[in-house]
Amino acid sequence: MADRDGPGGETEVNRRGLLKCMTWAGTGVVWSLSGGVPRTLGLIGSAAAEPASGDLTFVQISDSHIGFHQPANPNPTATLGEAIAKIKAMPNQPAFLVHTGDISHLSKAEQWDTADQVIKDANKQVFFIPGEHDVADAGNGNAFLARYGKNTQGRGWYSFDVAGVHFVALVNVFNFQPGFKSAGLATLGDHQLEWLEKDLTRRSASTPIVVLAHLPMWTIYPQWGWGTEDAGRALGYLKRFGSVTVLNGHIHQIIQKVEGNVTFHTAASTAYPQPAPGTAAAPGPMTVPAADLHKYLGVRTVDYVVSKGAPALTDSTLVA
Amino acid sequence: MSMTTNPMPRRTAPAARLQSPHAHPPSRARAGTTDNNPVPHRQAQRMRARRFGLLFGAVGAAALLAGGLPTLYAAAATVDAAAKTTSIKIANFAFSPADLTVSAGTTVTWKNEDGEVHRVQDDHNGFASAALDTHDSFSQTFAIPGVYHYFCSIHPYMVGKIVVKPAGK
Repeated sequence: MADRDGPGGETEVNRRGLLKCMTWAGTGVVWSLSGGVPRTLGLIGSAAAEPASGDLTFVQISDSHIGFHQPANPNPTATLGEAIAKIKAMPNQPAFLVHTGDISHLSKAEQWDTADQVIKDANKQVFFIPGEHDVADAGNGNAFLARYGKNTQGRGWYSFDVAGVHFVALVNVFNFQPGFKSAGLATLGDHQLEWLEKDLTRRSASTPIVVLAHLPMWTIYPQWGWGTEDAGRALGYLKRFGSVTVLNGHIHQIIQKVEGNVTFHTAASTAYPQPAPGTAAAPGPMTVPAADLHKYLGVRTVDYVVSKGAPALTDSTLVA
Repeated sequence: MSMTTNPMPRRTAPAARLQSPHAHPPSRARAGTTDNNPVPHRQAQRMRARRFGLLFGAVGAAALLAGGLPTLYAAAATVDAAAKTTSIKIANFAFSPADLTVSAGTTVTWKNEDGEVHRVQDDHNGFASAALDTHDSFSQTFAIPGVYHYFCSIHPYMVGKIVVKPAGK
């Protein structure tokens, strides 16, 4: 039983329980369930986190969409720059950054060039995974993989270890199957799942795990394709671990869920918001008053005290 | 991979096309393409179309004789002098109309009016657009009657269907 092996006592919830809601101490995020759909109620202030003091701190950024040029954000390069400035100003500097996809809007080299140039200013190592906007080239992802996919497996997935935490970077933006043959959700695919099973087999159940993916690893809102059809298999392999933190992007808003020892966290974008599930005719860029845009954008700090298992997450908006 | 029964008739069953989205199986591209989106994808479409040089041979030769036109795409357009055009709007993550009936030889243009990027792809890789940014469009000429199911390959729940009837009917 993972919840006996796991060191993360404070995160344990009834394994058979339905979705459980909680407020993360120190996360600055309150969320709830409404009609079965987890909703973010909003950020409480911004970046009011206590100085981190853990064994490992890293920062997640997501969905920078460089090249986007619609009213929802005429200048995503500038807002990515503000996110990087925010990271540079953090009193407790992260060990590295993770970018959970949609670096570019249209998989163009110049868009990635711009993103790289801006992100480089943080002076940190960055772990990337692709979003569907990064694999929209004529070669169906070859451009991204040639640029960012060195030393990865299959179609770009990989794992690594830092400070006793095992990171698994998954790719769920390939091989979408049409809605008249499938649920219209993302997939990981057999090849990747087999790799994941092997990758995890070698880890002890007390190893904290961080899973990175672009699309959500649980079905948030199938009508908008916000889920991964075969994520259940991946989560099956992760069940025995005491602390599993799943970080993803794609939906441009913060929604969180706890299930057993697994916590799921979607991230804010650095470019533009999208509507909450079911609150608009369709997903896609949501235009908010220009003065409010920064309240919807953000970065996330993840701070581990390995002996405590689950990390503390702090979501900070880009409000100055 | 689920391959649930589709109630709509299909002209052919797909061959092994399950593994790679990159290695296109023998394409069912039967129609000329006029891609007004100047992107590299056009090259791929040309290559697929070339495999069907024999299919289009007679048509292409006729066109070459007639006007010295260099590509098969132009050839298809030349054959049907009374070529018709129609368009499908992409907005709010949906194709509109989602069901469209045209006569053979019609050129269909998809216009992306959404704030999001979309891609139009035939279920059997017969045709596929590049990533269409806001206000981009993609055109495909349907020369051969049949039922064409397509979807957005990055928002796969977006689906549509084109029924192509014999010309003159």
